[in-house]
This record gives sequence, C-alpha cells and structure tokens, in this order.
Amino acid sequence: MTISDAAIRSRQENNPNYIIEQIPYARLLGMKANFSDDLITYLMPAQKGIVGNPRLQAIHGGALGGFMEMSATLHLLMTMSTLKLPKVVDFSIDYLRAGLMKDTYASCEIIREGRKLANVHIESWQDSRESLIARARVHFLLD
Amino acid sequence: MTQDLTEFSAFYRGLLKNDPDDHFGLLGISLVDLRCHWVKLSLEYRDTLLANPETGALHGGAITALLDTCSGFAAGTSREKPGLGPTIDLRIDYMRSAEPGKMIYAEAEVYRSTKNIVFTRGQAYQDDISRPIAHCVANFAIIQPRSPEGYKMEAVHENGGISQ
Repeated sequence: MTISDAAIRSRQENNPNYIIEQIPYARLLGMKANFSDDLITYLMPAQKGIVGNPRLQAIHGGALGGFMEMSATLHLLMTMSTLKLPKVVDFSIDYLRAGLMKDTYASCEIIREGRKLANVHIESWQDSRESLIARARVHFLLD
Repeated sequence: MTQDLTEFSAFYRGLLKNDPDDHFGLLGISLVDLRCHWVKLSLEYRDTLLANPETGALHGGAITALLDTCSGFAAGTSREKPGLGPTIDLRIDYMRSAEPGKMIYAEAEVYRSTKNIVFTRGQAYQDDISRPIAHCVANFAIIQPRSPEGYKMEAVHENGGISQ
C-alpha cells in the first residue's frame, strides 16, 4: 500500500492509523491516532526509546518535536485536497514544561491552507490538556 | 573559565552510548567532535527514520532531534562543567532533502551565553556544509543549582556573562 492509498483509506474510515502504518518514523515513535467527536488526537506512548535525559527519565525534546511535526503531517494528509505527503518548510516549537515518561498527546489545528502553503498549529500535553508541555507550528509546501 | 574538554567528551559519549533504550540510540546519533561553544554530531541514515519509503525521504523529526541534541550539547560547552539544560524554543528551516543512504552531520555553535540563557545556531548537512539540509536556531535555559538534579548546569561567572 502506498501513502496515497493509505490516505484514501484513512479518510474513508476516519482513521489516520492506516497512514501511520506506512510511515517508518511514525512507527518508530509508536504513534497512534484516536478519532472521536470529529476531533483527532495523536498519541506517542511512553517508551524507553524516547528518553533524552536518563537521570530524570525526561523525554527528548527532539522526540517531542518530531512527534508534533508528524502529527501535523498526518493531520494535513487527513484533510487536504492532495494525497501527496506535504513537505515541511519550517518548524518552530516552544517548550513549556518538561515532558516525563508518560503518554504524550497532541492535537492540531489547520490555521490556513492556501494553494501552495499550509500553516498548522500543534499543542501537546501529558496529564491534562490544560497544562501543555509544548506548542508548535509548521509551514508546509503543498504540491 | 577552566574547562576540561575531555570531561565534556566523556559526558556526551556516555549519553550517546548507542543504547536502544534512549532516544539517541533509537536514532543512531554519535559525537564527532567538540570544543568550547561548538559541537559536531552524526546521524546514520536508517530506514526506520523515513517519512516516505517510496522516495527515501527522511522524516524532519529525525533532523529536529539531531539538531536539538547538537544545539543542547553546544550550549553545555559554554559552562565550566558538563550538563544538560532544557530547550526553551527551537526553530528549524528545511533547505533541501537529504540524499538517501548518506550520513548526516550537524554542527551547532553558541553565539551568546549569559547567566540564564544560551543562544545557539546550527546546521545539518551531508557532504558539504555550504549545502545544508536544515538550519536551526535554539535557546536553552540555565537551571541554577538547587534545581532538580540532572538538569543542572554549573553556573559560572558571578557577574553573569561568560568570557569567550
């Protein structure tokens, strides 16, 4: 199955996990997506492979960044008009709290989707949606 | 500032011991070289890091993790003793796709460091640093002693600035 095929199936069934299965990096992070009430939430489960500070058992800032970037990509693939994997032009992240060895969640909002560019904001949290551990935004080039 | 670079080298190599149980090992990040205010790392091109197996394109997240690590290590070399400080924020511009199969390098430097904050910039590239894959700017916080162990970076000069 190609990514485009997976994107079609994911949209038909409102389930981004078919796309995740086709993307090695998303599988490496153990990502899952959950669709309920028209809202997609992305999950990066607690696992040893995402630890960045072994003494504190804190998750790596790069793993969190990669997870949020991947969430935005999936989100766009679920909703945009093209079925091709969009290219990331730039990515910016603000770290708000330390991420601990716990399940990490993200949700995305497409702020603008033009003909060439899309702007997507991502929020990430662990215990509670009210205490975000990071906010990020991505610009994608669509073609 | 008296600084023993071999101590830094040992500290970073200890973190990058290629243990699949941490994120550095999962990605395949190694230390290439370091000096005061500058660090160079490498990332193996692996199939597990791909965004698209059809084109061989690496996922940006792997480059983000490489540059975050490299910038954080560079920030550490602005202190007297090795340590890790939390990233405040990070911005990455992707300039071109990585060529499949080739090793990726990152270099990051500290261009300003103060008592509380370290400012870094860095690039990821393959053969030629003048043809970067990605450019990065990242800032790090210095957590003063009395903070949780492990996120501690040694505070240096009492007056705040660090001589270069």
